[in-house]
Amino acid sequence: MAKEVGIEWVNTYDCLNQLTHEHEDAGGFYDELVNHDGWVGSFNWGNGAAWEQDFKRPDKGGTANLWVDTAAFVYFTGHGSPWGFYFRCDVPDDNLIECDHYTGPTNGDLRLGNDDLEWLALEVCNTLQLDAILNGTNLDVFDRWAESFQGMHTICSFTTVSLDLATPGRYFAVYLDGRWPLVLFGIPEWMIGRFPLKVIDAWFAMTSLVQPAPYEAAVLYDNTQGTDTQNDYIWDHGHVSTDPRRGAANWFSWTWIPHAC
Amino acid sequence: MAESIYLFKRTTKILTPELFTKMAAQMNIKEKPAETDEALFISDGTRSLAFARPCATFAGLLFFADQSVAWGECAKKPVSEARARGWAEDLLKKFDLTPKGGDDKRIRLDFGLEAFQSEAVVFNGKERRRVKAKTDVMANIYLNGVPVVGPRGKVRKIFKETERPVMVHAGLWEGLNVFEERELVREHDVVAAVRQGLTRREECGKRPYDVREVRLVYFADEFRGGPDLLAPEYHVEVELRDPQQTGKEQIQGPRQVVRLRAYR
Repeated sequence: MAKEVGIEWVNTYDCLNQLTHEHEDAGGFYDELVNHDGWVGSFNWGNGAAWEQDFKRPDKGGTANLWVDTAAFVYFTGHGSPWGFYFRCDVPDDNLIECDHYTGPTNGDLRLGNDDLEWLALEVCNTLQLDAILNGTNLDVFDRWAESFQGMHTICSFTTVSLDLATPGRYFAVYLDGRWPLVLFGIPEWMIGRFPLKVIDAWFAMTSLVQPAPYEAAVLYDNTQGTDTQNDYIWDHGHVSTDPRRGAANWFSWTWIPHAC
Repeated sequence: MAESIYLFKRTTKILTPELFTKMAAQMNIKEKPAETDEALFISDGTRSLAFARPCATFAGLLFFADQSVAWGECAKKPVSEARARGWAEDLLKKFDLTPKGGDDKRIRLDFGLEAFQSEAVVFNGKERRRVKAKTDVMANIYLNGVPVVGPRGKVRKIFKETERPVMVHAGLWEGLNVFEERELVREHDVVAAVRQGLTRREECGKRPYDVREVRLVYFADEFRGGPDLLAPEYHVEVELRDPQQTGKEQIQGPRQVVRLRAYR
């Protein structure tokens, strides 16, 4: 168990349109878990210090094994599309964490969970869109992201656009660590305690709280014999499934489930 | 002559602890509520219900979460749309939570609930299988024909296999008054402002993006003090051309929603 959290965020894009609230968004997630739930803050990289290389698998020249895969929970916010999520153009290695099939069938950048990572929240637009067309071929969410799961439990993101807001990260975190009655409603913790939600439930609750209709969130999670990642709470707040490993049983599955905000 | 639009001032329902406790019983929680000036809260450890009172950040928000079922797990047989919608309508009526427009003829409020079953897709490495995962209920709210959206202008409920929901988010108001009549910014001007903002100096004349959609909405945002207003804004969705794109094929690029105030 590694109760470590990492965040990366980009406002000052040089090759895409700039965003406004990403430092508050991701920073809220980090601050809540570190200051109110005993997590160790592994990294908080923003703008030019947020590098695509930190997410990329080592055999493509990345350093995910030194950064993203050393934390249990990583939260990224910036621009996204069905093909991945974006960084500045002047950072190592390039500006896009690309999915599989974008430049080659198995050329995706993400291979996560070999080390510590359980949950990856991508507070970006369209990354978990079910279908996307490239060169006349439909590449669904499994074509694009299934191979990313190498022990990782869940990716939380959106199928549509989402508003650039300051609060999603903090509100997501307070649903996760159970402080939502205080932070959202004003009921002191000493009166009632904490009421954490499961990771997927917290994502759905947060996206309904902050994002308007008709936007749509989604999660993608994996399972095999003996795992139940859909029931995960964050560490110290309830059950956490063992890591789903390919080849551990004669079946393995990925589940994509949308949630209308 | 310029078109005008109303700004509305909303009032939040005052829910007594007694009524709140009855509502909790409807959700199968049989405990005593905790109460502060800002909120009411009740929980049995698995199910929790909270209501934000007037002047709280989310004033008027009713939130319920049941942690006995994973919301992301595919239900074997989700409850029917009709039963889910019926339960949701009953709750709103029984506890008088349905938003009101008042007697003012300048306010035309349309409120309705719709229910639908959401499908998950399960992939086993070979085949994709669509399965009904949950039944969702959501509200369609329009003020003078303009959709109301945002955390305090929506109803969202998730049902799994029983008629009781596992999640309720109901952010509604009790009363509305016309606060001001203002000039509506034209959609044309909004699009022009967005285009100007996105134009890069070195690419003058070229447009590396497309305006995909312009939506006029009333955004029921968090309460931050002052008059509690429902104010109109434009949500302009733009799509930037994929920066990696080298071929002739136009593929989906990163999208973004720009929010702009819709009145002067």
